[in-house]
Amino acid sequence: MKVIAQTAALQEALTLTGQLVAARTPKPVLQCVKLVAADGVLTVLATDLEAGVRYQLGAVQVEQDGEALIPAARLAGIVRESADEESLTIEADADACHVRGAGSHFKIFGYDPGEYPAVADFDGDGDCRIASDALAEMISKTLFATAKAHSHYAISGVLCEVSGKKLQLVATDGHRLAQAKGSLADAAGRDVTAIVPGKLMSLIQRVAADDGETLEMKVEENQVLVRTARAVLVSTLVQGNFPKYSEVIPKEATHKAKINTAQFEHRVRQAALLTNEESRGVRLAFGSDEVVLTSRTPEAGEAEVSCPATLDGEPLEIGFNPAFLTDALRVIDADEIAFEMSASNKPAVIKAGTGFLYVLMPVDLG
Amino acid sequence: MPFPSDGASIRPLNRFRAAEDGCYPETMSIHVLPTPLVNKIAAGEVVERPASIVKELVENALDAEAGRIEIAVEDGGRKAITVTDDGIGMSPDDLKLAFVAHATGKISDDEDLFAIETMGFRGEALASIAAVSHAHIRSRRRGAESGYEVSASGGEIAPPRPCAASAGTAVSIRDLFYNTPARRKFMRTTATEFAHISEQLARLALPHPRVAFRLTHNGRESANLPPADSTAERVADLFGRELADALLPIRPRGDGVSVAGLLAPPAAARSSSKWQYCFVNGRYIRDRLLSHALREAYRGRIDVQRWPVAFIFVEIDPADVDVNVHPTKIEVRFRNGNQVHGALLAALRETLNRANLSPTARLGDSPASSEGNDRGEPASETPPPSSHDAPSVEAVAHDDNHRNTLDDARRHSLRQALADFLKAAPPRQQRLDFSPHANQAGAPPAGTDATSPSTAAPGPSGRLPLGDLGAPAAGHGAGDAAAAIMQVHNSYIVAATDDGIIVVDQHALHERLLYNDLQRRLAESDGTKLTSQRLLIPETVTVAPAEADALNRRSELLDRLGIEVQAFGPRCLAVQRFCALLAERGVGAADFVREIAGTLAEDDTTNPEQMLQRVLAMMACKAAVKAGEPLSEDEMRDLLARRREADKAAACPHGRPTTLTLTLAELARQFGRS
Repeated sequence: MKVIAQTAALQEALTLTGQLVAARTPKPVLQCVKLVAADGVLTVLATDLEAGVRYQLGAVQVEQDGEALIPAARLAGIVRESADEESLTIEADADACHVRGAGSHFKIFGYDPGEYPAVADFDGDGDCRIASDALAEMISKTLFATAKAHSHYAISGVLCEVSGKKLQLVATDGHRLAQAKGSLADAAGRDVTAIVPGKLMSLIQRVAADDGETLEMKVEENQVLVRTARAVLVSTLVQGNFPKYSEVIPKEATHKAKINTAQFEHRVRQAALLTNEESRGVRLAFGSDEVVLTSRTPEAGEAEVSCPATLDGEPLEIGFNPAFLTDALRVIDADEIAFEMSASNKPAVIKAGTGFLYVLMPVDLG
Repeated sequence: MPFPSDGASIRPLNRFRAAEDGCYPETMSIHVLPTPLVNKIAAGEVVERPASIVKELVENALDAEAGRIEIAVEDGGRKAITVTDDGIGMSPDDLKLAFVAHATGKISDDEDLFAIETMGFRGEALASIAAVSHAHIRSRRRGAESGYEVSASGGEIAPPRPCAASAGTAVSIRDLFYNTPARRKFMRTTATEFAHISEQLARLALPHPRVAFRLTHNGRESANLPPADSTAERVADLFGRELADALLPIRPRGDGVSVAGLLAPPAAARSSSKWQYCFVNGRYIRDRLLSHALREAYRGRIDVQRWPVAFIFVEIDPADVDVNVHPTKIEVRFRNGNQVHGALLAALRETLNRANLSPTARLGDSPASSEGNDRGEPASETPPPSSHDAPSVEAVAHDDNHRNTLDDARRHSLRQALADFLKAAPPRQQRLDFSPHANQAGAPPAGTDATSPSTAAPGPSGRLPLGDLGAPAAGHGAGDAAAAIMQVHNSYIVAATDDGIIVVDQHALHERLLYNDLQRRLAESDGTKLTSQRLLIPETVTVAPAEADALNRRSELLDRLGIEVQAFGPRCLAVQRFCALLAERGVGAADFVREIAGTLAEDDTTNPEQMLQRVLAMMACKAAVKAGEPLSEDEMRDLLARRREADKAAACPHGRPTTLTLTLAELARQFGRS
């Protein structure tokens, strides 16, 4: 194999694929990326056995087809330190891989490319197509709410529901739930329901955020595949039953407040300064024209900040984990949110813009 | 714990045999026992072993206002015990009655019995002792012209006769148990009996520091305690200067019950409760209330299998304590036990809270290793007092060739830690290098990437939320903000202090801080509860019926912890609310409830307060940063800054130390710079 690749493009490819390369693993091949040169294209492959990526570099000149399996960190380091070079030549034979720049030559010992696990490719048509920036936004509005602990595996992913021309993402960690709705580019070939691992979602986000292209998505028996112009992302699906989320979304509310998003977020952050590890809670007292946020740490002190808000309904006091509020508030683009509650021990709902809904449970401040 | 009763297991066998042999007397007539036999029987209670005689005789000397007491023992007390004092002495009339049972000069009517201020009062001791030995008393009253002597042998009393004597009294007891062969057999080796006598001396000498004591064994001086100004001095003479210097004085408090004394820091805890000396009105006693108070005060500061060293003196109105419970007066009964317990516990806690309790790391013999995890340590501790030349625990490395491999391993691991300290420094620099990876525009959502730098808001990223507490990390402990700090093996924090290096176990310290926070929070007022996060989707947990039952009965406890469970089908519970601290740290509600259920079901007898403390310790442990979790520098600084503000931070709730200190002086010594 011999290719001449643009350094910048190579670096981009290695940065993305590097996300799936394990730092520590008993299998050394999993610390590698696989390079495949064929048909005038260089493909960089990486997998952690759950998720995989195939990234195609167009800006290359393939001199000789072939494959190489190279330690990822080593190669990424060389490319990073060769940023001043326009291009690098990568040549691999049975013994080693040679990376050459204008005044540099690196010889890296790799592994047999045949030992690398297969990374599925996106064949045929997808189930649905969606604008990449729209999907990236929906992911950012839900991904934060997934469960981080291993205890409840089914909610460690994002529920992805395709129906007609609509796509819906739902994530929850058992304390709060985020839901984002969006439109597909055209009607989907079939309805799909799948739990996509958070890791793949954040990969999609990285690939999708930069340009206005259209992504294709396909769900097979136990895996999901996403195709962009340059990359194919694949992952096994999260198995298990996602909770019946529609049951926990309150249907009505007796107290509805409207608050400026940025101001509210700012005030919540301020109030959070005087919470502590053991009593993470901010008390929100909704009055007719403002909401007063108070917090207290017994040995440290207290905070009281207020924020204009219009309330429809009786005054209400309710406590929240401030992180649960700021997590949602910082991904909302709309200027104003609707904050809907019915009691201090019942779930509250934040609605903003089109298609974003966030349910959060209050805390009981002892 | 029930004592295995030898008698109980033997008796039926004997009875069986007796019946078989037909040995039961046909008729039994009841008659009053002759006095010598009564005294012999009494001797069984009072005179357990030679040390009991020392106790009785020295107490008599103390009651006689002695300023100097000499105890001479031969062959562990089996051959002879002589106690000589310079007290007020006895008149010939006194001497006549000295060996008569229930003859005493210390009390005279009922009322005296309930206001006892002397050590003895029962009037049994000398009579009992004389019944089982050859006893001899020589005494001269202060100011009297001549002395008298009297002797008794196996209960046969000879009349007093004049003799030459110095002021005071000398009692000598020879051939103990000569006429009761069974008891004689039960005496142990000379060394054992003498060890008991030494221990007895400590119990007698501690509450009377102003009285000089001298103990000789077979003519050789074993202890010489000059009159001391304070108990601490007496402790130094008995147990060595090192222990005495480490002791924390209990500030005397007085409201009905006055408590004074000295406590050793947790690091000096021993593997036996022998080192707890409790005195009530100057009398050594063993009392469950008092030892419980000690255990409570040290709970969470020392390992559960170790015992604090303490010297406690309780002064209480004699009318409020009954010492006439046990012939040797080793047990007493308080009229108001709870008050005594409360006063003592308060005094002990106050003392411990006041003190800085970080153990000091020693390269040679670190308290961490001897106080810490090695449960199976050799029980090499000798019974206390025989030595005022107690061996120093602090061995100097280069002049000790008999250092065992354990010590070597320990030194090696510390050396390794220091080597790692130095080796690991360069990577810190590298991390500051500008990496194009980290230079992405638009921060990813918190938590999607475990290595993402912590965002400004307290994100639920599962990371230790210490750096974002709002407390300005840099402002904390500005004095050493610039000082070197680092994490080794993602488990220990090593930091420079003004006078050396501290090594902190990150999990143990964080656990301790959380435990304190939780405790403080619940102690704020009676009804306070922990902040509780409601669950949007209740977690279900399957438990055994006994566990469900235990949870049910302790719903109040759970409520205080911010946990609410509801029945959800047979053997199934749904967690509706969960402690916010644990929820935030990603602890599974179902798993934790299952664990609590197990604990509650198992340990149903413990009182609610103890149960609460146990569960709090469990919570702190779950929520605390684990060993192996990397910490940012800010997080480390914050943790260390809080170490200083927190009391009891010297040990985690399980009693393991959180911090080891390696002083510059120790370093200098190890490097031969001193």
